[in-house]
Amino acid sequence: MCALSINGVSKSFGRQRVVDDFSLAIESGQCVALLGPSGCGKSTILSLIAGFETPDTGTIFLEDRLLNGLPPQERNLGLLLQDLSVFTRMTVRQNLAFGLEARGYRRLEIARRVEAAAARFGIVDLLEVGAAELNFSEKQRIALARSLITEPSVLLLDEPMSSLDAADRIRMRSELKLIHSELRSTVLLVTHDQSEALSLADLVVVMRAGKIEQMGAPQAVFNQPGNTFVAEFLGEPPANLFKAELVYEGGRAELKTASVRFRTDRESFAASELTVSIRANDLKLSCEPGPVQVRVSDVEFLGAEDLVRFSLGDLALASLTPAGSFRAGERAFIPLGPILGLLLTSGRATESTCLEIVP
Amino acid sequence: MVNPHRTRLLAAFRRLIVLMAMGFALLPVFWLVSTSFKSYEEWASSPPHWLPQNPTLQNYRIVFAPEAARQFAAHQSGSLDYKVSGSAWSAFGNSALVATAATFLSVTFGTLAAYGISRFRGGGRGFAFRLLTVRMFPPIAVVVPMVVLFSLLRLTDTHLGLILAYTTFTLPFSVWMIRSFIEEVPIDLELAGRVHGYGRWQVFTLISLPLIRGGILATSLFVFILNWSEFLFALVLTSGHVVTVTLQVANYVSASSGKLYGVQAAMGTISTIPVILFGFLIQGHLARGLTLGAVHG
Repeated sequence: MCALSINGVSKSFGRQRVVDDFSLAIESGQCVALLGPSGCGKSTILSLIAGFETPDTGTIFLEDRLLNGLPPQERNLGLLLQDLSVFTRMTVRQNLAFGLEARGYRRLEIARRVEAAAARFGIVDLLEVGAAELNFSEKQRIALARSLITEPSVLLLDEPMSSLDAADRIRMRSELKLIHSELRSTVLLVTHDQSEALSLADLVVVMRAGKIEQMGAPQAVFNQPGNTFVAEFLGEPPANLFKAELVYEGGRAELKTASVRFRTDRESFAASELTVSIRANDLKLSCEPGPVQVRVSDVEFLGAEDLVRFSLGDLALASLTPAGSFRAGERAFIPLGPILGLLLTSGRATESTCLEIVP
Repeated sequence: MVNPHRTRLLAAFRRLIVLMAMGFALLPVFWLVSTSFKSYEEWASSPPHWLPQNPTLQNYRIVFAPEAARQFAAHQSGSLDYKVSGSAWSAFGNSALVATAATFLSVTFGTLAAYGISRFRGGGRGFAFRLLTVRMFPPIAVVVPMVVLFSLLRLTDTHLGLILAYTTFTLPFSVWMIRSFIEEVPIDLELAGRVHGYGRWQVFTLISLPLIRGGILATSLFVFILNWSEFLFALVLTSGHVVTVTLQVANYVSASSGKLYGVQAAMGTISTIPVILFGFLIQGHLARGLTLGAVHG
């Protein structure tokens, strides 16, 4: 069953169209991530669902209830915001009971649910503590428990991890994943962090300028980006993207830039102008002398690996190599052999290909 | 390299400046209290005495006891108007009633208006600033039309009239000040409250109001001080029935000896007490309320 369906929703602020004819259906129990750069309209969609903003056109249904016109308090949603919004003037117990009291539950039922939630989230000892005295990870658990205790139809997460440091982020990610698989609650996650979206969601929706660029399973979106925007936005470090022309040289298909040629195994490609995407980890560098020599322009230390930038003819490329392999200014060689790449053209499905540099 | 000797000198210098500023602020208060205990001969003696030579409570007696005022008047060949001198209690009563009610109204409406301006952009862009301009032109500029308006509405010389006038003139101040506190409350807190099932009004009273309580109390104190010490409106909008503390101070005048400085000082000294008490009562909230950024959820 469809838990949440958004149908042709648009929203403008002044002259700016922030959400543009947006449609999305979320299955019950699914975790969907709206992924996109800041200002792509993803948070506005969340506000429209929550009822903080009214759509200019379009409808939003929660299960089979029309949400348009309903105030936020009558929509039965859960919400976890970036700053957690724990009510610091209240105790943990009061925080947890807040939504239940608002919905008019009986005292005994409230107490029962608070105890159960506290046990589930490991905060039994904190129940009588003032929320102002908690540390960040405790606040996090309380905010999460508070938003789930009312058993909302959909849990909305607005950049829930963007203010965390790396370790806390990974911890919270696994916590969220665990809770989602345990409760099978329907979750809509809004984020600009691709690793968050890819690791948590069953369905990733990549957005730009109020529209959907691509949507699909995390693996599909990552491996088969539908267009250059998605290819550029997904992947850390960003993939090497360059324009090339498909030509036939001696009966074989080649991709040509101004000064570099690649042999390709894709011979029947309709368009001749395309964009080639090669991920930095698919592009190897070696110190073994070979016919394709490049000069390292810059090395970025990433911990276990280095991001090595170099130029090959007119192309500025980057490669992930084991840390410490190269230094700026040094010579390096691209080993001959197949390189995994993607061919993107506007309006057509992306195809993967094996490329080989023509020395 | 920091020279420790120089640092110490600088600290001493800084302390001296603070002491001078304190002296500048507190000297009039000291003079007020000192004069209130001086006998008639010392009020305006030359050279002046810093401390009363023969401390006396006579001035306070004149303020509060009609009998003492009468005796003093007789001694001064009947120059003190008994009707005025006997009504210090009622002056305090009038001031307390008018200032408290006007403060309550101003802060209540101010909070609601500030919330509307802050959260719903009520009044449109720049409304809060335009509201503040009401406080920018001198009150005396509107006194004449106010008098005409008040006599048309039959509000002259009534408590209600003064309360309305004070509320009107302190409201922009309340709105402006409370708005800054409301804007410190993260909007996300209210959004979370609404999604959890409460309406706007409940979210306001349950979540936002407790967070800005300190700010509201601090604003109340300032507005109360403004109301308590107001003179101009009290002078022109009343005519002998609703006499406030400030008017009463001005009324201590004698035909033979001019201004009764000692009595005025006694009245002035007492009139500072409610304000100081109020300040002490909300002291904890005051520091919090005045430190912007202290309301974060």
